[in-house]
Amino acid sequence: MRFFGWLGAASMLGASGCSLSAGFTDAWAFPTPSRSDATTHNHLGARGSMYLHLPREYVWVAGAEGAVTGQTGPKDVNDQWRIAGAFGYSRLPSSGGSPVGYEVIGHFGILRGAVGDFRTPIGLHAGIHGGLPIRLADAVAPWQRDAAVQPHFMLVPELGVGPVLGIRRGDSPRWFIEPYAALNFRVHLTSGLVP
Amino acid sequence: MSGGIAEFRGFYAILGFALSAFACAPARMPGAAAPPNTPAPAAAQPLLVGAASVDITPPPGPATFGHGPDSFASQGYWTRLGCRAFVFQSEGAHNRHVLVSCDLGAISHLLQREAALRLKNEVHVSRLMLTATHTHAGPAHFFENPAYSGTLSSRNPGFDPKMVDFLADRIASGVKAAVAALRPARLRWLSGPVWELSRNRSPLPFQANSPRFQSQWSAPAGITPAEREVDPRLEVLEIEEAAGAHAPIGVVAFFAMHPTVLPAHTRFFGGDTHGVATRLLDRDLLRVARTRGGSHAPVSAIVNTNEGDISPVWFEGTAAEAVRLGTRLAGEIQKLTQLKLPVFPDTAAPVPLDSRYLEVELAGGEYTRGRLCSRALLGQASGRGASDHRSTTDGLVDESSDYAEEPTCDPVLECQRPKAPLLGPIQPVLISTEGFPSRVPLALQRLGDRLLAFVPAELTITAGQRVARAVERSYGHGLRERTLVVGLSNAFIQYVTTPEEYELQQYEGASNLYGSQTLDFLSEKFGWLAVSLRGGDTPAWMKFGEAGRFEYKRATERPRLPDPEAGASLEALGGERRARFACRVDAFEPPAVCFAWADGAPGRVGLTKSPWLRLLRASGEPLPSCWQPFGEGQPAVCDADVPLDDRGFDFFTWSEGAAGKLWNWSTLFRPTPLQAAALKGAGRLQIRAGDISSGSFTFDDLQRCSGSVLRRCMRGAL
Repeated sequence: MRFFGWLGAASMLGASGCSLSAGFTDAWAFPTPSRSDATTHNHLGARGSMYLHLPREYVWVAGAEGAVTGQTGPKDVNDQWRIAGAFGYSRLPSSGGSPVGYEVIGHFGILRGAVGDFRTPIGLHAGIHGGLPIRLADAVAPWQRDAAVQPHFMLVPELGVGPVLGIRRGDSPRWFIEPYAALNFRVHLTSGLVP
Repeated sequence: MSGGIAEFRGFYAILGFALSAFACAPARMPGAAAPPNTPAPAAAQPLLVGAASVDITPPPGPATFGHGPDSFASQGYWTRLGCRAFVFQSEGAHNRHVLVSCDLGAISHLLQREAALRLKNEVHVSRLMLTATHTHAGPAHFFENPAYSGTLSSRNPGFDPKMVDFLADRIASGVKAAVAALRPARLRWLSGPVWELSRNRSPLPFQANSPRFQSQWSAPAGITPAEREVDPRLEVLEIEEAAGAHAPIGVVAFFAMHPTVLPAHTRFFGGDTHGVATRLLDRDLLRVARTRGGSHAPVSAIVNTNEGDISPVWFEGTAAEAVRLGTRLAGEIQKLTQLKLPVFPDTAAPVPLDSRYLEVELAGGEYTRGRLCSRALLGQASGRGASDHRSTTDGLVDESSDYAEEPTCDPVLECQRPKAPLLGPIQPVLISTEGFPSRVPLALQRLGDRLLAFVPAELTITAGQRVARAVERSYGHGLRERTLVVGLSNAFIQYVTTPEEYELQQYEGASNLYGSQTLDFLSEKFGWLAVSLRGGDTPAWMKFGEAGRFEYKRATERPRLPDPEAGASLEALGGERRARFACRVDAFEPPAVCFAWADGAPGRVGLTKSPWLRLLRASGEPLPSCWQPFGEGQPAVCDADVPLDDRGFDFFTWSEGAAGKLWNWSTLFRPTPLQAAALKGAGRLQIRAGDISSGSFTFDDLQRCSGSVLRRCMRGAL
């Protein structure tokens, strides 16, 4: 019973700042100067992320990001998926004030699949992106937003940049610098029990 | 709407990083290190007393405070909230002491310090005693510590410095008005029992005490055990002008009872039973002052004492019941003032007036027999709520986990045993290990032949009696049964129980933050305060009167007080501000009037300048309030000097939310039968919200509220 009680309380509080995003991402990867023979390539696909807003300020976030993309050029090898851990700072729009927030989130993770002109069984990627979460509902009065759990819907355009490292046995690693853009639809769960 | 994409600036992100780094830094409590100057008394000067009251009702939006996660965001107000300031001065301005009683759940240390900053020319911080009536329908967000402005402290929690400023500004203005009203005065202390108004809500811990609380009065036969196991003591300080016909200056009543008749989930600010009682007493005093040629409006206040385990005898939890119990309390106070007891000064000797103030460190605080726990901790049972207002989280965890029977290696948990921590290891994560107040002020004041022990906590009646005994033992001078514990003063650390009560780990014991020895620690400190007050020797390291700066962990800041600049200005709204409808609600007896109008945003409307809502004749003339005076056989009174407006308890006013640039507002006017009868002969009436009129009506020609309109109007059926 004690375990379930704690689990209930933790779940309730954990939901206080949980963002679930789904959206599209487009990434352009450029070879680093040291490997100018590597191929510039482009990925387009779907991405998802989940962030938990950490107590006590609820502005620091930690979570995970993932993406499944297709390489739109060159097209000889074309699928890639990636997952990453993420950490950052996120000021989401308030229900009663400004409809626009901001966030800066960094990530570090692994990838598999197409990286330019070859497939990597395992690669690494990292990066940092800035986003502008935009609230998709009218502002409401405080007494209309103090429920224990409330969903908020947002559109989050993002721009980011980071290195990608492709690794294949028998080949030397290939570095790329990857600027990327994404547009996410986000469901953010908050709780009227936390600041 | 402020903000928006167009207004966004990229550097906000960098600023955010900087601010968050700043937020991690400890905040610093403002203060004055030096104790007050106490020059040798000059030639005997008369006792001077001034009193004033000030409105502190915030616009709707902030959460209420007192029921933790069940304290919802406010949507409006029932009775207005107020602070009543009393300034006592003898032997010149250097010996000036201030007592302020506010319709708040508790007082934060920061609020006391901020009010003192604004009053540095009037009174030393160590002589400014702020105390709360403990209404659970007052605002939150002015507590600096994460425990009381952070997670689970209320709905939409957060610390708002603007709420601190709002309250401190108004308290300071009230004290300044009281200083301006200082005049020669005389005092009278009155004392008597009140039964069947309050009851003990934690009988098992009470019965576990040895020795138990003992009242100087015997309970009447036939009352329930819970109604017998209370502190029935009602002490009333009656203050009159020394000159002329002795017009009343004010009345301060001390009584142990939570003013918690209203439901935990109320979205209406209000003073509950104590708010009702003070309004009734104010009216009564005003009539007396008029007959005696008084030059100032008298002020009444109710001060809570050792109310930790004492609730009102309530059943319905309605506004009507709060009025009934508040009326009973006011009647008991008024009955005592009919006693003609000796007054101070009854000779040429000055009225005893002095105080001592000592700030103590609770975390690991040392005293003769040991030390307190090094960290505050809420027990599992604190999450259940008090027995008369169970929390919605009650039942989430079974009661066997309220106790930690087994020894543990963790020194904090071991010190707090048998308290089992609320939320286990999650508690320090959510609240921080330094999230509770640790440094708190204690004060002891002599006022006439009473000693007032100001404690920043809610003491159970037995705990309060033990503190009082410790004071009286140290003070001597035969002042037995003359010490009053003034709870909820100058800061807030929740409950203090006896070690026996702590052992049972019910709600109050689980809310005793620093362990079972807290009461012994406080008793010893109050003993030293008493020694100092009587002029005895005290250890040199005890810095009486000092209120220095210190660092503390500040709660997460969030804007909660409605912004006076948010939304369109009233001028810009112009003619769009208008009445929407008025109708009659027959669900009440006598019928009520529901009036709705479109107006500005909560921070813009004239709500904070009382009165905002008024019932007037159609011609615009004010209407008198009517009520039944205390005492049997008294004829009903309708007094034009007490106009019918939202300073009484007939209006329930709330906002429904924004509709474009405008906000929809409503009020429900619910007259008493006496008031309704008087209004029948008053001709055509109107309700005014500031400058917006309902248009003229009589109760008979008003259309009945029905359908969705009725549903909306019934929101005011508190």
